Order: sequence, then C-alpha cells, then structure tokens
Amino acid sequence: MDISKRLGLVLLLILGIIILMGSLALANDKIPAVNQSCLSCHQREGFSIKNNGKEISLTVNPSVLTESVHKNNPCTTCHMGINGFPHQNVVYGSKLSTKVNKNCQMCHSNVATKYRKGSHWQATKEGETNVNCSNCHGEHDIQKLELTKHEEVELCTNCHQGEVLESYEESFHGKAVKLGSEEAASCIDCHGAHQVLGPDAKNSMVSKENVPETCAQCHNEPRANFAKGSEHVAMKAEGDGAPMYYTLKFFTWLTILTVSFLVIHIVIELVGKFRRIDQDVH
Amino acid sequence: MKLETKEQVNFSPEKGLLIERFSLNQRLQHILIFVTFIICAATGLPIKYASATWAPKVVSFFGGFSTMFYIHVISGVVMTLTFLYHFIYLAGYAYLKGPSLDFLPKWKDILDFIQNIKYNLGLSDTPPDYDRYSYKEKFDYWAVFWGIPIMAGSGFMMWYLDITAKYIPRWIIDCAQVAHSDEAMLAISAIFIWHFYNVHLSPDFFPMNLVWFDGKMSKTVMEHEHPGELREIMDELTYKEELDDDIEDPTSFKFTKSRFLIVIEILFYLAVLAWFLKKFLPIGFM
Repeated sequence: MDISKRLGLVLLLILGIIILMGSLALANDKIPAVNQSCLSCHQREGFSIKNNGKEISLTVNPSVLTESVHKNNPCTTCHMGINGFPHQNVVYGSKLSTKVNKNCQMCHSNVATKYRKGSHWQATKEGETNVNCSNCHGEHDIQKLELTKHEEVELCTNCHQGEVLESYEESFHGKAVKLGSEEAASCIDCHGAHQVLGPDAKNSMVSKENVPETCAQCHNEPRANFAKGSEHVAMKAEGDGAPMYYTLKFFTWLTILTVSFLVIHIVIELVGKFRRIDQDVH
Repeated sequence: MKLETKEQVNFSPEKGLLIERFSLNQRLQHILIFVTFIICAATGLPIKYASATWAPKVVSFFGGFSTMFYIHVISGVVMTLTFLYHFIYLAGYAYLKGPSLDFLPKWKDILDFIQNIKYNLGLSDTPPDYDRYSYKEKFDYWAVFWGIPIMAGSGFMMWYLDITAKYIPRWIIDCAQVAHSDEAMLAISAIFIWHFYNVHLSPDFFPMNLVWFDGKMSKTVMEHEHPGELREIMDELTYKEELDDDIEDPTSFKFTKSRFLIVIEILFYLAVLAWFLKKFLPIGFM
C-alpha cells in the first residue's frame, strides 16, 4: 500500500469520526435554542386558556419533546405562522390538528399524496370526522411508528369498533394477532395505512377486484376465490355470515345433544352402581 | 374374537387368567392418537378462546404464538397419519389373518344399550352381555371416523389456504374454520367427559383401566365387561385344564362398591352437565 492511499484512509477515518461526533452532538437531549423562548411560557404547569367555556391546556412537557423524533424541529415547523405575542389566528382542538396536518405534508410529501386520496382525509375535509396525522402518529410525542401488530389493531380500533372489530376478533388473523403473532394480518395489512379506502372505491385494497391481490401479499397467489366471501361478517342467519352461522348452529346442537345424552348415560350407570352396592353384583 | 396364538392368553399367579385384548400395534395407534389429541387440544383451545385471560399464559408456555401454532399443525399431521395408518393396518390385518368384523355396529348393540339402561334403572336383573366390543367402545371408535375427517379436512383447508382457494370459495373456507373450532369442542367434551368416565372415573376402573398400556384384561374383569368374548375364548381353549382359572384378580373393581366415590361422581357429572348447558345453550339459541 503506497503512502498516498494510507493517508487517504487516515483522512477518511478522521472524517468519519467528525461525522459521528457531529451526529452524536445533534442527537443530544438539548432543546434547540429557538424553542427555548416558546417553552419559557409553555412549559409552565397548569398554563391554560378558556375557549368556548372549555379549559384547554397549553402546557408542553419539554421531556416529551426531547423524546420525539421531531425534537430538533423548531416549534413553528408545525405551529406555522405563530410569531409575536400575543399569538394571532390561534385555533384549538380538531381545527388545530387539521391546520397542523397541512404543515406535516410540507415535509412528508410522499405519504401526504396517499393520505389526501384516502377516505380519512376525504371525510375530515368534509367535516364528517377528524382523522389527521396526529390522530395516529401523536403530537408532541411523535415517534417513528414501530408498533406490534396488536398495537396497530388497538390504534385503529380506538375509533373502529362494533361489528368490524368483533368479526376481526373472531377471525384467525384477529386471534393470532391478539396472541402475539407478528405474521397474521392487522387492519393496515389489508386496508393500507395512509391511503385507506372503503370497499366501494375502485382502487381500494379491499374492493372486490383488488381483494385477491391484497390477500396474495401473504397468501402466495391472487386467487379469485379469496373475493368470494366477506371478511367482516356477523354470525347472523341473514347476509354473508349465514353459512358460518348455520355451521356454528349445527355443531353447537350436535355437541349439546351428544354431551347431554352421554352425561345422562353416565349418571344412570352411576345410580345403578349405587343401588347395587349392597348386592353381590357389579 | 378368534385367538390367533396361545400367547394371547396369559396366566399370572396374582391376577389369574389374563387375556391380551389389544396388540402392541393397536396400543401404539391409541397412544399416538391420544398424545396428539391432547397436544392439539392444548394448543388449539387458546386460539379458540383467544380473549380469555388464560389464553396468553398457555401461548407463552408453548413459547409464543408461532411455535404453538406449529406444534398444533405438526401434532394434527401426526394424528392424521395415524388415522390413515389405521386403514393400512385394517387392510394388513384382513390380508394376514382374515378380516375382523367385531368393530362393526350391529343390532345387538342397540339391544345391549337398552338392556344396560334397564339394568341400571332397576327394570331388569340381567346385565348386558357384551361381546368383544361393547356399544360404548364402538361409539368411541366410530366417533374418530367422524371427528378426524372433519378436523383434518378443515385443518388442511386453512393451513394450505392458497391451494384450497384454487378450488374452493372463501365462504366455504370460513365455514371450515367454524367447523374446526366447534367440532373440536365436541371431540374434547366427548373424550374428557364420556371416554374418561369409561376408562378412568368409572368406579369399576378408578383410577385407570390399564388395558391401554399392557393390552391385558383379567378374566375377572372380562366376565363383567366382555362376557360374550370370554365364553368364546374359553370354548376355544384346549388346554383349560392346565390353567388354574379360579384365581380372582384382586386388583379389579376396587372402588365399585365405594359409596363415597359414586356419590361424588354423580354430583360431579351433574355439575358438569349444568356448566356445559350454561355455556352452550346460549350459543345454540343465539
């Protein structure tokens, strides 16, 4: 190895150390100086305001901020347009999260395109519901989502309950995930995460046309038969759940009748044995 | 039963005449079936009752869901192979020794059943005269022919979902899942309530009838359990005189006259029935 190559290696090593130390310095728990002024008011405990008769807390816990992935962002990345005191154009609650929602999309443009096509945003835009980025990802405590399948299901079922949840819990996917499987499908494996669409939308993962492809993510090949039946069905005598309902009925009554018959048979034998205790026969 | 060899009749100075009712081959089939049955039940029930508080404990006992699931399917495969082997066994038996038809249901089974109920209700003084297999044993034997095709069929449909979906629409596979889950309950109930009574808890055999292990049943027990078969065997034996067949088996029927055990068991089985109906009738009337 000649001297220039060796020198090059040494320089590369030094450069590496500098980059490493630099990133370590960035990764410390210090709050960026620019946020200190915001926090000088907002870290006070019990800092709140009354809005439409509702008490709204304005406190931000600095230790929550330093643990989030956005700890190096200035507060105004998300709370854009807040400068000067008193703050102008302040909104609260769902209005705030919708407003911040737009700011998230300035950086996270790749998922934002998907999110804007999905029904969560469509319904939020029309004021029917309020599912913004923060509803799933959190606010000041925002983390890279590394959830277990079970936590994924818990996240969605904060809102999506009733028949859809009950039928999932009865399915093998639901049972496996509940018991800790990381292979079985959670909600987002079939419905997607950002571009969630109902079964009627043409490019939905769960439309009749796309179900075979969606199942094939795990189940090898997109069989047309995967779409011949429904996922979230109630065990009822009418509708898509009827075949399962009658299967359940058949086996349940077979079990009730068989076991009742067998137990009665056993008890009759035991009573007979009791009666013959004093006789010389069994 | 036709005796093939002299070895099937043994003599022990303690228990008297011993008849080998089950060959080693048959006993191994039974052991394979019951071991895999217990494993399948233990690894399947937590999936059926996934929301129960005990389910995660069983899952962690088996080392996580994936491990438990693989234990379940491997055990199911072994059970299915044992079942398939039984057909080879039957064919081989028929080829080597001529077909045995003792296990087929016959009209006398119904008469034996009626006689047994009458005898135990005090309506008759004669106990049923069972042959090689009583109707109770035939019930257990044929129940396997109902249970395993359903359990293995639905199990393989779910396990090889991709291949199944090539031919079968999804709603039928969903029905198979329901059938797998609920036929399992029927099988588990029948085994742990009925079969366990007949071989473990029955005061005649309490705590256990060991015939599953050594295949042998003493003449004393045979007289009570399989009198018809015993008569046949005794008629065939040409060397009867050499055997001192008056020795009674002192290990048999130890608890048959135990008032305490019988009363406890009557209460136990009535409680089992009440619990069972409380659990299943709401599903039945759902």
